[in-house]
Order: sequence, then structure tokens, then C-alpha cells
Amino acid sequence: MATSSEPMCVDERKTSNVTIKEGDQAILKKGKTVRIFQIRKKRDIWLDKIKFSLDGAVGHYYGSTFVVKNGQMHKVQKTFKEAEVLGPEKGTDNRDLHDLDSNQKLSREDIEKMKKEGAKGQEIIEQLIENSTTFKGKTEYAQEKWVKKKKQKHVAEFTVLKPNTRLMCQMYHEKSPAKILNIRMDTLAQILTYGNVHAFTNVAVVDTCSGLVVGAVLERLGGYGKVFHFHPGERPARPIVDNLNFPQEFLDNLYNFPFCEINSLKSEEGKSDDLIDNSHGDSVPSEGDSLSDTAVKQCTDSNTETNTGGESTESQDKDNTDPVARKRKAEMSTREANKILYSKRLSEAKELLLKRNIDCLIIASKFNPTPLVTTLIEYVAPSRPIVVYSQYKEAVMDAYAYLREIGCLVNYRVSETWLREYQILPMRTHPEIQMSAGGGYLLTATTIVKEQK
Amino acid sequence: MSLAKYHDKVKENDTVILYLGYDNMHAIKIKKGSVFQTRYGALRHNDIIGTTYGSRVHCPKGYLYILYPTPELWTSNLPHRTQILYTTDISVVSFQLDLKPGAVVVESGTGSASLSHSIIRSILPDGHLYTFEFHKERAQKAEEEFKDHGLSDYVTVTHKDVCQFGFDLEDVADAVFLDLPVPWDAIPSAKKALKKQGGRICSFSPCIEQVQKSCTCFAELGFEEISTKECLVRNFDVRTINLPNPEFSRDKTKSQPPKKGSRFDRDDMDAYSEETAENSAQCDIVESSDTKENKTSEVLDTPAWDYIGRKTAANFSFKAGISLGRMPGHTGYLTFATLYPL
Repeated sequence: MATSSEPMCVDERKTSNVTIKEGDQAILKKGKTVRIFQIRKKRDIWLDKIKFSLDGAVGHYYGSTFVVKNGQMHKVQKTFKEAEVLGPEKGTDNRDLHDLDSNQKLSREDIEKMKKEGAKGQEIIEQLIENSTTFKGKTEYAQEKWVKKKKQKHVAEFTVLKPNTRLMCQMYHEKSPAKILNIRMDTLAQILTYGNVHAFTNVAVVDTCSGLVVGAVLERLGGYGKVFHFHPGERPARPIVDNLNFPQEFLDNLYNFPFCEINSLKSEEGKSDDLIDNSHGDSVPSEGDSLSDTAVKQCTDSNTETNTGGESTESQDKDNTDPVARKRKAEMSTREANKILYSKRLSEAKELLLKRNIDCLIIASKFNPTPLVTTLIEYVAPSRPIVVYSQYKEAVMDAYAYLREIGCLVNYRVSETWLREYQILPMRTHPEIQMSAGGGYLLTATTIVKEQK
Repeated sequence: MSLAKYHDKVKENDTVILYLGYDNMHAIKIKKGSVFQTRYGALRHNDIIGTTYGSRVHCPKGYLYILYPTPELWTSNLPHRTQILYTTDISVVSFQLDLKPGAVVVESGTGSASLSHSIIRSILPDGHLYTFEFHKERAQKAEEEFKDHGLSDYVTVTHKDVCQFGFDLEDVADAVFLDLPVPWDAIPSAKKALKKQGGRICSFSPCIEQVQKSCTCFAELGFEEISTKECLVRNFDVRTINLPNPEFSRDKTKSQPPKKGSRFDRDDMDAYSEETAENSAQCDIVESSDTKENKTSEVLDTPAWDYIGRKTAANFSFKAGISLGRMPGHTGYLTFATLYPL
């Protein structure tokens, strides 16, 4: 009895992605700083010590660049290039250059004054150059580097981007890697590829990385196929999935599965027919079903209890005119409806999992992966990939050892990837000075038909 | 058959992956009456048709598994017409180009279509790959393979030298991938092919000089966020290691040959050799009483913080992930950039 949802038509999906709209989750990117905000008109946000509202962005293309003037965003053409502000004068080396604060004649207040008066970024940089005693003595390369640094500091230009997995991964990896279990972009890339995550596959994901992996899987599924998110606690914590702002059809294909229900799933094998009958008995009558479902969904999504949700199931109660009592009754019936919807979804998820045709199992959590993978592998179809991620090689090796013992997989591989970035500039090409020390470890393997013993 | 969608049973004309053991796989196309020779003997295609993917199939001298051809398994087993991109780089490219269903991608050169298969998998059912190859036979072979694998609807192969003649596409692509000896000759045309609302581009080059020229070209044409990376994979061989404790005196009553590794000695197809340099260093075998011998293999009581492995009088045993020998040190540099809308 799986709900099949048709993804919205392709053209709709393409055009709705392109312009900035109110209510969107939007990423503001300034140099390497990447922050996410929800676009709400007339509401101020802070970015890099500047306060402004996001109204000015609405209606423009994603990828547009803006500058802040008087607390408002204004679209600008792309920022100027370093080479444009360099004059003909340059030095040959730094033997006579001394690093002194007095090298720059402009004070902090002078610069702030210029910014307040609405001076353009390029003008500010040009002023800084003119008032620098050492600039003309620098080599051309040193001048470029200096201008780049000043731009980053004084030019408040940023780009508005539509959130996607790549940007969310970058953002979290830079700012709060622990929240995504230190999954680096290349590791996440391997997980998605080795898992053969694509349209029409059903993917089971154990995710305690703020929903990064679930979000990445949903993006690769594009609305086609189902995702089962296994999580600790009663409700999943996946802010990244919210940030990615998927259309409702995608989210309709996402099932939550608390760890504490796994044992009941195991014991339901063989009893699955009984389960179906029971779950249908518990749900509200079918005529009221769709209305209360949508109403309840709105309540669950916005996490507030509104009267509208209650009133749709409250048609009989005309006598109770007391507003407080009415509200309380509405809240109670909303809670009831929520509970019913929740258990209905859970039953659906169990029923689907018991078909044992999961196409991909991904484990990326802070928990010991071994019990998770040895238990959930039961529900994966034969000749399908599984991917186990851990920050710790020992945990991955342990899972490997136990899976070998069960004997249900072939083509094992324990690996890590190594990522290095480069600075590419004429006569200044070299790897970046700093690199990531680790991106975690993966176990990948392929399921086989389990031999009957 | 279709690489696009999993199906349960092997059919005639399917491409299947035969898994014989660690690092031992073959891709074959199923044809009634054909026979494939393996180290375990002859494998008759007729015996495979109708089996479930993931099944074990017996041969005269052993058995193997029939696996479904994912793009990753295909990449590991496809016939090379050119040097190919391997899954490590393919993963990073797919991720950095934001591939997903509905994406339109332009690629040149097609080569052996290793990356092409992965791209198609990630963008179907409503995306499309336009792939260009200047070598006539390779273009034809790629087209045949896509047809064989049920992917023709999602890809257009063009025999063309894009460096000379351009892609002849405008405002269509979400992403462009270049694997060319002279990518800067194709970058202007690639820019035109990208959608006006913006897109991503990647250039793969083995040599740093090529990367430098490509980056200059990207910058001149107004691409932003130009970033060059490389990604290498390191595999681990998981083994139980026994390090013998050294003898500090000539009194040999304590020594005993180290124990062989336990569960991985089975004769199964995924087993590696358990012998390491440390293991094969034999201590002298001594005449010692039974009680003494038992004592040396008894697990010792160690402090709570002594956690990593297991200690006996003779050995320290632990499970390790080892990287031995050589590993791929370089495939190519991946340069990514973004084209923003005006």
C-alpha cells in the first residue's frame, strides 16, 4: 500500500529553481564564508558584522552578486579583478620593505567613513593603494595577493546561491564538521557513487549527520524512489534536509524509522499480513483520510498546533462555544491525528522494508556500525551495494569482520580517500599550504543471494 | 537490459559481472549457447539465464557470483579503448558538478565511456548527456555500448572534434566535463553551451601545465570559484597481525612459534594471505612442559587502558588495516569552476 507520488513535471521543477523567492532557503557566500538564511521579507540578518534585510534579493537569479547599502541588498555586476587596480609601478623583492602599521595612512575610521558614504568596493581599494607607502615597492604577485586580502576584508559583496548538497557539505565541513561526523565532500561523493544512488532506487540510510547523507540521497533520487531514514530517538534531527528545501513530493518518499522500532521489525517477519490489517483498522475512516492527512501534515511540518487542523475533524462539536475549551479540544484532536499519521507511516515503512528489496544500505552514524549493518542487511536485495562510513578505521574493520563471518557479501573494500587542493597561478602554482587531515573511512561491498544452510 | 533500472533476473543480452574472487571479475554479455572459460572451468551462458542476480553459480572446479552491472562494476571491468576515469575521480566529478535527475551534461572526449555511464546513471530519467568523441570508431563503440545497456534514450553521441568545431550547443547544459589534451580550445564553446542561468564546469588534466592554462582561460572568460583538486584512494587490507614478543635472554623456555591468524584462514574466495613479515619470523621451538606451553598462549591480564589487541606471553595480536606496496599516486587534476548568470 505504498503511496506513489508523481514527481512534478520537469519544466515546473526547472524554472522554480532559478529565481530567488520569499520563503526560500538561500546561501549567502562571501569568499570562503558560506552561511544559510531563510528569505523572509522585512527581517534583518547579520553577515560578516553587517546588518541588512534580504528583500533586495527576491526576484533575481540565483548566482547573482549583491552589495549592501543602507541595510538593503543591491544587485551588482561581478566584482572587479585584482589586476584592474594594479598600476605600472612594482618592485622586485621585499628586501627593503618593513612591516609597520604606519605603512597605511588611512585609519580604520577613514575606511568606515568611506563605506558609510557609499563608496564602491573598487574605490576603497584604490584609496588604500594610494595611501600605502609600501605598495609600489611590492612585486606584482605581492600586490595581487595584497589586493585580494583587502577585498576580502573591505568589500562587502556576496553571492546568493541555491542550497544543494555540495554547498551544504562545504558549509558544515568548514564550520561544524562534528555535526556531520567529519564527512568530507569526497567521502560523501564516494558514498553516493558506490551506493549507486540514483532514480528508482530504494535507499536505507542510517544518518546521524544532521541529515547530510539523507539530503544527498534525496537529491540524487530526484523524487523517484524511497528513502528510509533510520535514526536514534523518536524524531529525526535533520536540519540539512530542511535547508535543501525539497519539494513535498520528495519528502513524501522519505520514511522515518526510529532505532527503537527495529526489533519490532525483526519480530514482524512472517507476521506482515497481520500487520497490514491492524494498521488499516487503526487509521481514520477513508473519506476523511486525505483531508485530515493534509491538515495533520501541515501541523507536523510547521510544528505548531493550529485550529484549522482541529476544526476539520471537529464538525460535530457545535455546543462548545468556550474558545479556550475549543482550542484545547482542537489541539488534542490534532495530536491524535498526528499520532495516527505517524503510526500509519511507520507501518507503511515496515511493510516496504519487509519486502527485502532495498537497493542500497548506507550507514553514516556515530553509533557502532556493526549491529546496524548486520541487522539491516537482511532487508537488502541481492547484488546490491552497501556502504558503511565511520570516522574510525577500527569501527569499519569491525563491521567488515562480522559481515565476513555472516558471509552475505562479496567484493569487500575498506578504503579512505585523500584530498588535496592546489593554488594555480602563473609561476605560483603549488598545493595549498593546509589540507584536510582525514575524511573518514568506508567499507563497501555487494550483497549476494544468501545460501540456505 | 538497462543499467538504468535494477531488475531481478538475468536475461539474454544482459551484460553481467562475473565475480570470481578478490580482484577477479569479468564483464560478459549473455548470449544463448555461449560459453565463457574461467579458472574454475567452463561457464555456460544458458546456465545463467533466468538466475537471480547475486546468485552463486557452480562451475566444474569452483563457483562464482553473478552480479548486476552497476556503473562502478562496469568501470572496473570495461574494455579499455583509452585511459579511463576510475570511480574515485568519477565520484568527485559527479558530486562537484551537482549531478542529479534532470541535469543536462555535455562531455568531451567520450573515450571508453567510463564516466559517461556514471553520468547517465545520475541524471536519468529526465536528464540528458551530450557526449563528443573525435575518434570515429570509439564514438561508434560508445554508442553501441549505450544501446546494449539500455541507455540510448538518455545520451547523444556525436563524432566531432570540439576543439576545432565547438559543441554547437547553446544555453542547454547544467554541467560540462572536459577530458581533453587542449581543454582551453574547447572552453569558450563550453561556456556557450552552459545555461544562461549558470552552471558548473570541470576539466580533467594529468599535467599541471594544462591545468595552469585552463585556469587562466576560465578566469579570462568570467568563470568563478575556480578550484583545482586531486583525490586519491587508499585501500586497506584487513588482517589479523601477530607480533611475537622478543627474547631478552638465552633462557628459551618462554618462546613459542606465533599463532597463525584465525578466521581468515578459510579457503574462501575473499581471503588474503595471512602471512606477514612479522608472522613468518619463527622463534626457536623448545622442549617445554605442557603447562608451560599452555601458559604462553593464555591471554594475559592487562590494565584497562591496554585496549588495542590481545596479549599472550608470546604475542601481541590485533586487527589492522594495512596499505602495502604501491598505490595510485596520480590520475589527474580536477579543476572545477562556476558560471554565474549575468
